[in-house]
Amino acid sequence: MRRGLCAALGTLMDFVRCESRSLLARVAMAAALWCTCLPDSAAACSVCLAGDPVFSSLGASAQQAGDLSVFVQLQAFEKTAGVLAHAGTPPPAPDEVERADDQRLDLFVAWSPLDRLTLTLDLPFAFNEIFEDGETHRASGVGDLGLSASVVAWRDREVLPSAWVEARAFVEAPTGDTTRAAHGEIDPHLQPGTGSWDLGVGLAAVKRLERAALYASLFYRENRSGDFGHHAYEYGDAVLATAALELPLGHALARPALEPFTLGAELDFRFAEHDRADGARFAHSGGSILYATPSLRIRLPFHVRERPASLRAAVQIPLTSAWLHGTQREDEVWSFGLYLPL
Amino acid sequence: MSAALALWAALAAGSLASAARAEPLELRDLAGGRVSLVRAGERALVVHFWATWCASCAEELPIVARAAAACAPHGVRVRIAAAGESASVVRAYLRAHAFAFEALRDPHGRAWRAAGGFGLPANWLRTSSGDRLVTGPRSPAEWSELLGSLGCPFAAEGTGSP
Repeated sequence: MRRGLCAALGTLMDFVRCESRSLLARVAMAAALWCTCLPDSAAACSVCLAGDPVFSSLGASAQQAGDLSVFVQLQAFEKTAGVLAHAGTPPPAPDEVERADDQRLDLFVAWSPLDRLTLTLDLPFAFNEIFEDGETHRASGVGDLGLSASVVAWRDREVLPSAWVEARAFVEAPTGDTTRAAHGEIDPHLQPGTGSWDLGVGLAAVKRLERAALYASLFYRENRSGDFGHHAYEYGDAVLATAALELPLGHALARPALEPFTLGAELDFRFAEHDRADGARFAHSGGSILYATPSLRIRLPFHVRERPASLRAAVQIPLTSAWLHGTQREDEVWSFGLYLPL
Repeated sequence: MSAALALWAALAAGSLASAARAEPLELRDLAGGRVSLVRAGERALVVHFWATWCASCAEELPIVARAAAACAPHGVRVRIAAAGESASVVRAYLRAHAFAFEALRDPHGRAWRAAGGFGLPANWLRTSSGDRLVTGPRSPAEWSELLGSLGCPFAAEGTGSP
């Protein structure tokens, strides 16, 4: 995988030097890079993550009209939860659990066709593994494709603003597979997709200080019911909140040698209603969770169209699982991302 | 045949004249009027984008003001354009710092963006070899070097007010 990634990166860099390439060709190239990055194996919980993907990809900065960028992010996480009862089978024992070991690769393509407007396309690829009753079930494939729009509703100045507020909306299409069976049943938690059109609205605000930047966002996501074979499953509606601090180390500490490094500290919160299986509330779903998320962004020693490429590594550490409903435990979420302006 | 050639020549001349008239950047004066940047016979044009809130811009604005005065006789014109700011804010700033030069405005920063701007200060250069934008603050020595390369022998040492 690493060799493939390096080869793709080299090709990509040769490609972006040619400024006459069309937008479509540049997006196609980014998609090719995404395919090259697919991990060898992996996992599946379509809506259980927290955090703000726009912040992860762009940080506390805004694109300008005409800017195009990609952010390739690999996330790995594990979750243990009580088992969903299947129709026609005896109810699971109260202490029976399943463990999901998930990996997810997202290609975010952000394009700003106009000043103040940024469109972000999310092409996910999910690798899902569920351990239940001593058996392992695997499913992988393209997940639900998402499109979000951010509009700068207010900013303190027209050029290089130091504070702004964005209104956001997103829609997610049921492009992911929902037909993978485990022990003869279609388990929604194994599927790469949710099987439903989901919608969301939110707000984000940025304040850039002399030596740091503050970021906050609040998002509401309405999940619809999806068809899973003969069953319907609806993930609970969710509220996602992120508060973050970015600290460019070289500037903050007046150490030029540290200029490529930016430290981040986030609090990521998620509240979700119970999921509903065939209309009935699934007890081991929903609730609240709060993550502390340290991150490090490293500016790479090359620029594309005067903008630097960067790497980002982050780990979301759950502060407690006690606020989750029923039997649920979420472990750390590891993220690695590559940001490339095109 | 000759009529067709005459028509072609007329169209070509018209389009060339139109190209010569086209403004490379849409800027306004402090009264809000459009400004014509293109002038015949000039060796080079420098448009210095700045903002009143930009600390590094404030440091080098005195150099730019002196360059504007010193380079005009050499056919190198230096204009100063405030990006994304109102006329009243620009006027107040120039008055407070005793700058006497004619400042321009890029009201919403569109000219700065169109030129490829991503930071301030930035200098847009038009020379016989083409247009380009150079971004970031410049030391007095770098200003001397830049303007020298355009044909203006300018000694930028010292940053006092004009």
